[in-house]
Amino acid sequence: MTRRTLLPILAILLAAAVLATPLAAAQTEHGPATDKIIFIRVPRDKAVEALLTGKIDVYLFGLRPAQAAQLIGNPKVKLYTAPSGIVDIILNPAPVEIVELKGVYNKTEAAKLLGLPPVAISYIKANKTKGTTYLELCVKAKTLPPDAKVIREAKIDINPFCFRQIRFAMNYLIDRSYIVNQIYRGFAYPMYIPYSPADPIYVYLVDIVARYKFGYNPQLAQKIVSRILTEVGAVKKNGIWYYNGKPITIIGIIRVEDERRIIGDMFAHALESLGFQVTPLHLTFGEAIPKVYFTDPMDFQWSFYTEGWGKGGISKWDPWTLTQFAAPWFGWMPGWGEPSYWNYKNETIDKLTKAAALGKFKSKEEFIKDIREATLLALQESVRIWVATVDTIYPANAKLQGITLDLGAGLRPPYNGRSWYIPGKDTIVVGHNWVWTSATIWNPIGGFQDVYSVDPALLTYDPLIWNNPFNGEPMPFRATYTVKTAGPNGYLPVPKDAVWWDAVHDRWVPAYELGRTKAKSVVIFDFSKIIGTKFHDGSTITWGDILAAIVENLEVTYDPVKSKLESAIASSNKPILDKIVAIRILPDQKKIEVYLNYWHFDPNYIADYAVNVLGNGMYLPAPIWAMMDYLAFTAKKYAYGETRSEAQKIPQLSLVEPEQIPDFKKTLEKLMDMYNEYKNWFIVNGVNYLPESTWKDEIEKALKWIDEYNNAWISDGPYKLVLFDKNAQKLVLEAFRDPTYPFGPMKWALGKPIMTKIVRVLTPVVSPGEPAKVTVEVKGEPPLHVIYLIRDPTTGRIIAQGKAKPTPAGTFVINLPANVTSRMAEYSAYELIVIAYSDKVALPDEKDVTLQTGAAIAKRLGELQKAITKQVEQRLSQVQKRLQEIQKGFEQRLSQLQQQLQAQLEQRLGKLGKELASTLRELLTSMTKQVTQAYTESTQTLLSQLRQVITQSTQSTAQSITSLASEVKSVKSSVDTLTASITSITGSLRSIKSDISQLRSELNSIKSSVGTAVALSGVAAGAAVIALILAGIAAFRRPS
Amino acid sequence: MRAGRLAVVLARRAVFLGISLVIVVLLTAVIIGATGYDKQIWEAVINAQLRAYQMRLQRAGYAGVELNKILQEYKERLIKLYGLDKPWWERVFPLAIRTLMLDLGVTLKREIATIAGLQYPAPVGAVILAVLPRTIVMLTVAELICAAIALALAPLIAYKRGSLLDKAVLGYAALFHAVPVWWLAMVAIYVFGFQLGIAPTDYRGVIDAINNFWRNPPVELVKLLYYAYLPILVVTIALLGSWLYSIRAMAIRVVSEDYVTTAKAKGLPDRLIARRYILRVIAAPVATYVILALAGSLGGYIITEAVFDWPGMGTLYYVSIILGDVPTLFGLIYVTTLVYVIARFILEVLQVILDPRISY
Repeated sequence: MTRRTLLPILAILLAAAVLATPLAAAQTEHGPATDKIIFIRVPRDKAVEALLTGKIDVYLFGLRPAQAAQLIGNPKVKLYTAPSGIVDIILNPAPVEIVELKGVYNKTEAAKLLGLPPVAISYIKANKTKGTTYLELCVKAKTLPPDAKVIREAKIDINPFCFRQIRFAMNYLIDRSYIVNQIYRGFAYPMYIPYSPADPIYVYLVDIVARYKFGYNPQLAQKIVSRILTEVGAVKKNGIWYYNGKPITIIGIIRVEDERRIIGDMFAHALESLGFQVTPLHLTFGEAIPKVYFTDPMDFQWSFYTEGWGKGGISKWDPWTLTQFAAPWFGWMPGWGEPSYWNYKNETIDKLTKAAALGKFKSKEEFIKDIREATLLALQESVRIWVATVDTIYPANAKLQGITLDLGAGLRPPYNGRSWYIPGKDTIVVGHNWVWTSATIWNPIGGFQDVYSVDPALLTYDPLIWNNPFNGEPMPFRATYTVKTAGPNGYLPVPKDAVWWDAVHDRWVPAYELGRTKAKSVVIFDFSKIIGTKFHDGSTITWGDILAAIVENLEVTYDPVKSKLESAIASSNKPILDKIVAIRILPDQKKIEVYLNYWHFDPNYIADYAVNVLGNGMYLPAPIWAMMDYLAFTAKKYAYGETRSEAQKIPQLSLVEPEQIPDFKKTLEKLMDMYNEYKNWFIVNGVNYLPESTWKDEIEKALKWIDEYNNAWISDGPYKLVLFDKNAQKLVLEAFRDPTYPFGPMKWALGKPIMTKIVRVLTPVVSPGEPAKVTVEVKGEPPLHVIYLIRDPTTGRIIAQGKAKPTPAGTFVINLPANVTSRMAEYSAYELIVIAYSDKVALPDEKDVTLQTGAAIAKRLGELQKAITKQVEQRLSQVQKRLQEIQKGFEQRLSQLQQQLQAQLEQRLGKLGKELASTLRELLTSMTKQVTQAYTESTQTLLSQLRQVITQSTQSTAQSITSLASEVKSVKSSVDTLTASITSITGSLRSIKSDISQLRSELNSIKSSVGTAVALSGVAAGAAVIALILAGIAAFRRPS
Repeated sequence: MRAGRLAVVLARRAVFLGISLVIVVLLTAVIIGATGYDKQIWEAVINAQLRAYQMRLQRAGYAGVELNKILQEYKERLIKLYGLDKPWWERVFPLAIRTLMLDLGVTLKREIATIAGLQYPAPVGAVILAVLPRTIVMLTVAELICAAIALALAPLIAYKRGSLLDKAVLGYAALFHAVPVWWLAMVAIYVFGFQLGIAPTDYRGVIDAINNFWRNPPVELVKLLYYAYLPILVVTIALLGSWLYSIRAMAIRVVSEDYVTTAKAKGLPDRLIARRYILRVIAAPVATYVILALAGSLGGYIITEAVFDWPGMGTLYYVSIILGDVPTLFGLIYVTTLVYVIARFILEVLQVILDPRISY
């Protein structure tokens, strides 16, 4: 092989080797897919340029829709989206007057007393014991009984948003489609309830949304508003609503920082077009927040406000979103739970959400029922008008591989980062809005409150459990687990060797000594992927290190002094940890059991609750925990939490803060001789899980680590933190490839979820009163489910709803029984809303199709008869035409054949054969005539037969239909007759076909006869020739 | 005798300027306190913290009386912490007086500590000292360069009024007077940083170079120049027009004086005329212009700093006003006023030195 040919081959091999590296790594190496990840600060405005010029490979803070729109179609960049923001308009539902009447009244009676229509009363509560009735009014009372007491009066006479019906009508005033497609450039979803389609629980609520089908319909809004305002006595003059002679005014607070400015302005204009006088106030965060959230709604400093919320990761069974945005007890509804303000009230929503959020349910069905009812009520109440769920747009280098599209967190860790690689590169540069801010605190007790610390930290440790990126259900990460539970009402015994931390005496004690003898559930965690593996500084993870993490969490929560110092952390931890009963270490099996008084219908949620006591995998060497405890509580130089930091004016402890490093080193050196003060942390049932030698060894290794990397973040995940430069806003993570590290590079590359998609909905024309079937084809991750609703678009009424049945063929069938279709009118169109969803992936798919109805059955049959007759006649004429064509073609072919034969005979016989030929011609002509005649006759016969059959069948059908039209059963038999007739027509057609084949065979036989004739004529000619030759010979032999 | 009178006058001026400083700080205190500005901000902060805390507690299962009790305790603690339990004068005046005594207190906003790159809570003095050098490196240096160029060129241009050079300078001044600095900065980063790759796109490294300058001055200086050259260049280009125009305008006043014409008639070289007959005469107003410009540069440029991601005094001012961090605001007003007061005093002295007509 020459050098010239060898070089390209070598080059190709080299390139292939380079490209294959990460793949090879995927199979052989421990640790992540890329050697180094660098986080740098890139402000959002520079993110696009930084990405296009290759300065960063991925941007984790997210782009604005307008920025992302520039990148669509750019081959260098791929965009990944995840819903992460919510926009809504909150309406001020405050009354203008609060009155107490003497006596117990219902709404109608009370309204009459006050000279108002009942609709003007927004809230009524009778106190039978006191004999009074408390009333909140949307307009001021016209008359007041002398014994009535005005509790409070606002400065205005009417508040339109106090009326529930007007608030509800606002749903029709918002053009969500325009907002999503134009303002957010498609990077958003329309939203109608507090949950968005990206929330896994949405699939249980989607029919509630579909039921209302909020479209942009200002006319409907106008109609509702006019009805209510007219009822309470408001008048519209020159397009403006007046009440008590004054125009009805609305103060709109519109945030200016983002797209909410346009949304707010649109809403303000829409309200103006309804006839309200709107005063828009365009305010920034700092100006708007005090006006809205820190004022009494009855002061009417605002009527509506454009709210915006961030959205965290997804959780499969999430009651909190609804609670936060709809339940007054949570304190996020107008009035804000502040006792001195007027507060929005809804006891039913409170009751339902409390049950769902605080775990007072006994089954999944009960939980879903509570959420559904509360959602429906929240929608009807419409204090918040939900506008859109906004995507965070994560742009990344198009070559970036190993991505998991987390439906909640987008490209953010932990499912992302570990498996990322770019072929041919060993470093990935991640842009973030910040790497360090003064709120970026790396301490496991009171830190990690911002994305800038959480995102990189999640690449340096493996959580025990994390929510599934596609459906939000907790799933094992570094530790697998099994859950045993006695159910919502039962209890399991706690074993004698289970222990609990005595924070007063600083020691582990048997749980039964503290009266902890039973628990609702137990979670058994398998720590075999943790115990015996290495920390980043090379020390081995022991049960002692795990115990240190548990102890420090419990100390901060329960130690009388420490919990007082860190009161904010302690008070929020306590109710959670109060439900943990005991732990039990099973060192031989590398397992730890957590006993807890917590039950959930989904066992993964029980496990997720149990990790609260285990620190969810954020493990550090035991001396680091001791060091933090010493600095926070003995030296009192640093605070764990923000509240203590502010109150005592001391910095929060952060293991990566360069200014704190000297203190860390000094403390660790001091701790070298202080083992005895901490050894109780590690002694459980007389077993010491961290002897002094290990303690000292871990301190030495930690000090070495701090000297080398200038931070004390010694973790155990796929990446180690080797540089934290807060001034340069740069952070470097290096792959941790220790052989004990349990996961390979591609372990967490889960890819994109298979989205549920409705491929096709096959709808029949429905006959009212007759059962009907709709077939739905769905693609997605099984198990899949299909639900449907049939809605009358004219009235908005839901005619039917239910679940489609899966078929063995993989499709779904919606069976609409006769009693459902009988509710449908003839010749009408209904909306069939089909929703498909998967248990494994959030984001359901929805398809709205039109369901047509025809006439009722008797009428339909008459139409059917006509249609069939028409069809048969058409078919008959087609057959006739075809037969004529065949006949014509046959004649042509025959005549051609005849001519050919004649020519051949003439040629062969020449003069001698002429006579024979003429005889044959005659013969052939007569045969042809006969065949043609026979064919024509048979065709005509056939056609007449066919006509007869059809006429008969049509007549019989007509007769049967006429005679049996009154009764559906007999109509069915006429259908059978008709079917039989059609079968007979089919039979006739078949016989025509067989006749044609017969003709064809006759033709063939003619052909063969002609062939025989030709052969015979040949023989005759041959004989004649022989005879001529013989005659010639005889003539020659004759003597002359 | 003259020197004695001068000293008295200067001392009187110093006292007067000192009183101005006190008045400015006290007036600020009145504005902040009497308008309810600080109270409003603190109430917002307390409510935001309470809401966040309330949510955490509720999610943890607290409700009813127990929840309200914890929240009430927390609220009272916060009210006490931020001094909202006292009338505004008791809250604001002690702060103003402490500020005058150079005890600037501690910043109460994390964002302020973030700008300075310090851990929270950070002393206001440390915050200003961390941020001020960044503004000096970018803006004051640029102003100094502008001053040097303008002082060298402007008298000459004025002297040759109407020449091509004069017209070119006038055109340049008009153009760059209209162009915002921040816009020029964006264009410069795009062209020199992202497209040509000869300047940084991320300027955060400059903070490290400034903070650690004395660790290894030659190395850190190179690093500093690497980060600073484009911002300095941009600011210089943007400001130079105004400088040239202003100094030229001052010079034109004297160009038509008889003694300049005489000097010219005597055949003195142009440069000498510009330096001795023009610049020397306008030295006093020029000095005023230069000193005030340099003092003014310490206030920073909010948008330009944001474009370069170079958190200087402008950013600090902006954030402390927006977030209502009263201690930082007091500190900044105090420091800025102090700089002006010192500048004014220097000017008083310079006037005497530069203008022979001034005598006491």
